[in-house]
Amino acid sequence: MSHSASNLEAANTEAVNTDATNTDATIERRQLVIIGSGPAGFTAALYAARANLDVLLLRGAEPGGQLTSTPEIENYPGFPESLTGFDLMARMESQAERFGAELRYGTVTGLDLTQRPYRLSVDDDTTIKSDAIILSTGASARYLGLDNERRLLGRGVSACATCDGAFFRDVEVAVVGGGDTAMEEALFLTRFATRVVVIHRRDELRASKILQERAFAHPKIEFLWNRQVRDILGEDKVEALQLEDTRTGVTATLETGGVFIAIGHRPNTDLVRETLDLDAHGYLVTEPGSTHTGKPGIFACGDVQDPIYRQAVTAAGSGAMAALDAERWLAEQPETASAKTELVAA
Amino acid sequence: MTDNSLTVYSTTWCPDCHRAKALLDSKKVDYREVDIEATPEAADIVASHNDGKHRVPTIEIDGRFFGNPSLKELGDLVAAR
Repeated sequence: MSHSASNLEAANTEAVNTDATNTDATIERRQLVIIGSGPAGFTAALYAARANLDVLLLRGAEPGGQLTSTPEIENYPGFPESLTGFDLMARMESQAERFGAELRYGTVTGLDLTQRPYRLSVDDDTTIKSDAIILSTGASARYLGLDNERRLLGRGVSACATCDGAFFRDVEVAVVGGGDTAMEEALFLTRFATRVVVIHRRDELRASKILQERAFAHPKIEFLWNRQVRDILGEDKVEALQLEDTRTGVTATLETGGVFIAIGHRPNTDLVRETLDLDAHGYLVTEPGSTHTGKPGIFACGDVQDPIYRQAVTAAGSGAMAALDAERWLAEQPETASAKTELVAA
Repeated sequence: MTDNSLTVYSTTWCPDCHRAKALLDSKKVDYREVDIEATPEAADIVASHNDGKHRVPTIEIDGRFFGNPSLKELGDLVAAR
């Protein structure tokens, strides 16, 4: 148990223990908890703090979110000179903190939405009860799903060029995918690799025009069209890929020192898969024109509910919407008015 | 006071290194940072503790090495000192 939880417990020694499942833990009571710390989460925290809500943000397993892997952000308005994803997220974080949002390390491991206030289990063994929750858990890289891909992860297989790219100096690498992420990864990898081969299952890219043009113009980048990765070969590290031509079915081997998977993202909905509505692709469903999920007081913003745009600026925009929706909803709940940072033992 | 028993082996560009340092900063833990690209000996140390891989961040705490621990693990390790 953390020191802060021990202090809370000490402050509540007279409280009656009525919950057999939480005999040791002290339950913290909040008005609004935000889960996730990408642009959506931090913007929601900023707006909620400025609305004078009692807001706690739990950063999750990857503070700053996917954007922290982006070496250069050129399309976030207000930053004409571009900046790194890490810098942008650090700025959002300090802005939320400046207005009084409480930001905490911790990953939510369980979410009980069967009773109100809702209950969050955190990986530091604390439990939090909250009237409202904003889900901004984002998305994670999607993998091909091959056995050898899993086995060779970290040994030449990666889904993050900025994390691992510099370990591929002076070797040939491959990038799988045809969207913006694939082009960004390929362009970044040209700093280190001798050659970057982009493998795409179609004969045209989904990536934005500006990134396509940059990739096509780069002397180190080559394209293999209409190819699917059937297997990743290598004993202790990646040595080659087995590729299938999607038109002819013919397979061929491509030698490579590394392979970067950039075939899209999977929304992080493990916490709510059983309790909230998801669409056919696993994204959280919100009511049209709002961030309300089907459950009262539960809001969703950012990539976890956005299968279409998935931009830093749209995530931030939906974070603002979620905070405004939560503020309005909380104002309509008379019993929550006195809940502000009230602490009760379980 | 500088505590040399906690060392973060990092590179300038690695996101998990930024995250690990931000966590240590938030907990007011002193540490030494070594850029393994600027210090070849440090790269060798990192590789020798990670099956030959240059894994970053690698954290050395009181002589024990941890290759890219999760923030939860790092927080627990620091709290347990």
